[in-house]
Amino acid sequence: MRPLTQMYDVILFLHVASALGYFLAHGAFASVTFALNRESQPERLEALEGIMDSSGPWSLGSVLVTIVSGLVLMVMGNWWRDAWAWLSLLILIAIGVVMVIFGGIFLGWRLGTEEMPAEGERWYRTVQWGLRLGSRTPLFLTVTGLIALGLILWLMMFKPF
Amino acid sequence: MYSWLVFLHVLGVMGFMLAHGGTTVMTFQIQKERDPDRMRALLDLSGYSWPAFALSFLLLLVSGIIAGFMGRWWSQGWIWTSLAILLGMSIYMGWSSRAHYHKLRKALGMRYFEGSKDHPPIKAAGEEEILAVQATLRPLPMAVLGFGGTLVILWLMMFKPF
Repeated sequence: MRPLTQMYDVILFLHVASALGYFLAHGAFASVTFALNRESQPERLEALEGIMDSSGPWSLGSVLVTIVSGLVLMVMGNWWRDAWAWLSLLILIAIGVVMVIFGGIFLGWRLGTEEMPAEGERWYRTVQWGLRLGSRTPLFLTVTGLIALGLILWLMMFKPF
Repeated sequence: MYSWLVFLHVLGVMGFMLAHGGTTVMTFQIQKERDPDRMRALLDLSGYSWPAFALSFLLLLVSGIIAGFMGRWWSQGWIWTSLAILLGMSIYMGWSSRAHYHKLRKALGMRYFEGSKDHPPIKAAGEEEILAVQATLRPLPMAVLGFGGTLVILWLMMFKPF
C-alpha cells in the first residue's frame, strides 16, 4: 500500500486531475470547431458560440493549474535537471500557440467575427495560411493536438532523457 | 510492453475526456436556451462526437483490462472498484441521457431513443411542452457524479490503496 501522505503525490494527483479537467473543457471547443463546418444558420452558430464562451474560463483555469502544479513537481522532484520536463513544457507552449493562431483564424472566418488583415498588414501571411486550411482546420488542429499530447504523455511516463 | 499498454490506456482516457467535453458543456448550456432551433443545434453537437467517444471508451476499457492481466492486478480490490465505478457511472449516464435528453429530442422533433429503440423524428411539440421537458434537466448531479467518479478512479489507479 502506498500512502497519500507525501505532498509530491498530492500535487501529482492535482496535476493529472486538472489535466483531465482541461481535456473535458477543451473538448467542448474541439467539438464546436467540427460542428461549425456543418452549420450555416446564424441562430445555430450563435448557440455553438455559447458553448465556447461557457467552456473558455474552465479550459483556461484548468490548464493554468496543470502548468503551475507541473512546475512545482519539477522543482520538488528535481526534474528540472532533465530535458524531458523542459521539452514537455516547450511542446505544450508550441501547441498552444498553433491552436490560438489557427483556431482563431478558423473561428474568425466561420463566424465572421474577426476582421481579416489586408495585404501588407501584420499577420496577413499567417492568416492566408490559416485560410488555405479552411474547413480542414478542425481536423488539422485535432491531429496536431493529439500528436503533441501523445508526445507529452510519452515524455512524462517514460522520462527518456 | 506493459508500459505501452498503460500509455495507450491513458491516451484512451485523454481522448474520452476530449470527446465527452462537448456533451458535458451542452448539458449546462441547453438549460439557458429558449429557442428550439438553438436547442437542436446543441443536441446535434452532442451527437457529432459519439464515434470519437465510443472509440476512446473502447480503447481505455480494453487496454485497462489487458494491463490488469499483465500487471497481475486482478487479485487486488482497487481495480475491481475502479471497474465497478466506471460501469456504474456509464449505466447512470446512459439512463439519465435517455430519461431526459432523448425526451427533449423527441419534443423538438429530432431522432430519439425510447425503450431500447432508435426512433425517427416525429412532429415537434409546442413551445410550452418543450420548455416543460427542458425544466426537468438536471446537469449538475450528472457532472458532479461524472467528474467525481473519474477522480476516485484516478486516485485508485495512482495510489492502489487496497
